[in-house]
Amino acid sequence: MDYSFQPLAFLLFAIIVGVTLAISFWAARRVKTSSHYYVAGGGVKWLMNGIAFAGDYLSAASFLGIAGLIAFSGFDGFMYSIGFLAGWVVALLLVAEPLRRMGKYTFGDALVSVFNSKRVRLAAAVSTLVVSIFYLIPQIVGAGSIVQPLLGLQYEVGVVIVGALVILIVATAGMVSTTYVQFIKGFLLLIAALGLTVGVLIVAGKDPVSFITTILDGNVLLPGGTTVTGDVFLSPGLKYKNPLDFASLALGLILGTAALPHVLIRYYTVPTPADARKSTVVAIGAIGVFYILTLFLGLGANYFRTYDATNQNLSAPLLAYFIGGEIFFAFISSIAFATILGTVAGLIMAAAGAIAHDIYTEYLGNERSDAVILRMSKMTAVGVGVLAIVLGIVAKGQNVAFLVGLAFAIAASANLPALLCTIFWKGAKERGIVAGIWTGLISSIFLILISPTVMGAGAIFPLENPGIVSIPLSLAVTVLLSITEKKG
Amino acid sequence: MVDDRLDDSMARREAERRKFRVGFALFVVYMVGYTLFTLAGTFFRGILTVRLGGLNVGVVSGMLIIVSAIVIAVLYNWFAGKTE
Repeated sequence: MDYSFQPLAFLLFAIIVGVTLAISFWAARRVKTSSHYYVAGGGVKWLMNGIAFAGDYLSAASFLGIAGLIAFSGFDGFMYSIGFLAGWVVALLLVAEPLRRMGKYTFGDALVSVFNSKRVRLAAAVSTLVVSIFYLIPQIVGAGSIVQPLLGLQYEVGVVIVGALVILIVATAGMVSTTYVQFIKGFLLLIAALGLTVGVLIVAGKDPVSFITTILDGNVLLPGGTTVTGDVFLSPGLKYKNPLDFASLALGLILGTAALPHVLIRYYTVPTPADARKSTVVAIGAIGVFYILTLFLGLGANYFRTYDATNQNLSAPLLAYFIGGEIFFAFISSIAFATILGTVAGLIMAAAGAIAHDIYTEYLGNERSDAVILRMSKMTAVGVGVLAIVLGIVAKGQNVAFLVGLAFAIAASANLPALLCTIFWKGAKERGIVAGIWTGLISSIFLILISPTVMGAGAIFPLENPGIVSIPLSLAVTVLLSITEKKG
Repeated sequence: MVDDRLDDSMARREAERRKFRVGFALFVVYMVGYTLFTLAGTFFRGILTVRLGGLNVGVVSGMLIIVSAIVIAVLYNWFAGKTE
């Protein structure tokens, strides 16, 4: 398809944006305190929070990125669907309820409730900030990618539009509007994925099993121009030639979810630990169904060859154009755009909390009135939004699911060992927690910088995902420095 | 009165312990499945290519991991709700 301006697509896009902004301005009247701003006053119902969790988590990476990865790399792309969901089991069974009992607004609050340490606070805040920004980049890249065929605008213009909209949403009503936006978007995204999957199967004239069997039995043309057998396409190894890369990705994904700051803060938006658990169960149900559907979106894009070889992230929207023409394309693209708005809003909330609450108020000890803190939080959100726009323009062209996989590895390395040791191990000590966070953060970023992702063929570290080294390293440092601390 | 409150608190703590034990057991079961899947995808990739009812072991086991996460979540929530 040509990427020129499409009036219908623009109309749907304008409606979604209009509704989103209307919700934000309406919700803004309810934001009176910093508690309202950061965690919606802790009064969100568990069912709504569960769908909002799904809306928060099912980002551009899940919808645009995974569909593209499966279309281009078959089973290795599906691995993202499996791992992204598996991480929720860790969140439900180990983290959800204890975290709700411990914290107030942020991941740092939970750790400080046990250690009462400014060093722990600072490490947690910096880690939250870095992970949120790493996660923000792919969302913004996704926004830029989708705006081009949707509105006929340049990538950079799309990035600026989404950045400006999200800044407006977050700066007006914080977590209250973010929750509503994520709830609506999570619901719409499920309907979109279901509709697209049904469309794929109807047009292919097959049931779900025979559709996959057809692909397995035939030859598959990859977007690069080479052909492989269906067996090769739906087995590990097309993207991850080095088997350890597969293991490293699997480890990072399952341990990353429960360590993502924007996921963790949503545990504080419900009234009780039981509500935190119930909303996680709702999220797992919604997200699980969605990830099963992504297999059909990715395979459908390859089967009908509705991909853009230069941009993996457009596989799902272009599949929608093939299945249902301009209307369906406009519907799917607008939902993808809403998806990005919801996730970016959550990420900016997490990052703003780390700066304004953890660093400005708690670490630097700026005792101010709630109104001043609220204003400071909103200003911080604007600053993070502007940074996201700049980074999104720099990262143009990357697959968004792949980038998110790196954010997961950083989160799992820096945050999860500290969080689990704090919750479950009485022997955990302040210096172990602090050193573990810094070790996980620095080692994972360093390994990414010397990996093939950044250095290409001359990479010093052979794996694309650092998790298999940085996660155990961070855990070992946390444990070692805790058990070697002298008593008294 | 004080005894009642103590009983309540002890009962709550015991319920939390039981919930954690069940949750941890489910976590271990899930991790064993996920680890086996990861080991197969890392060192024994041939296993994942074996055909199974029109699909292959890789796709079937991937779907099973997703579905079992939903089942475990519902089971745990049911047990926790009963315990509370």
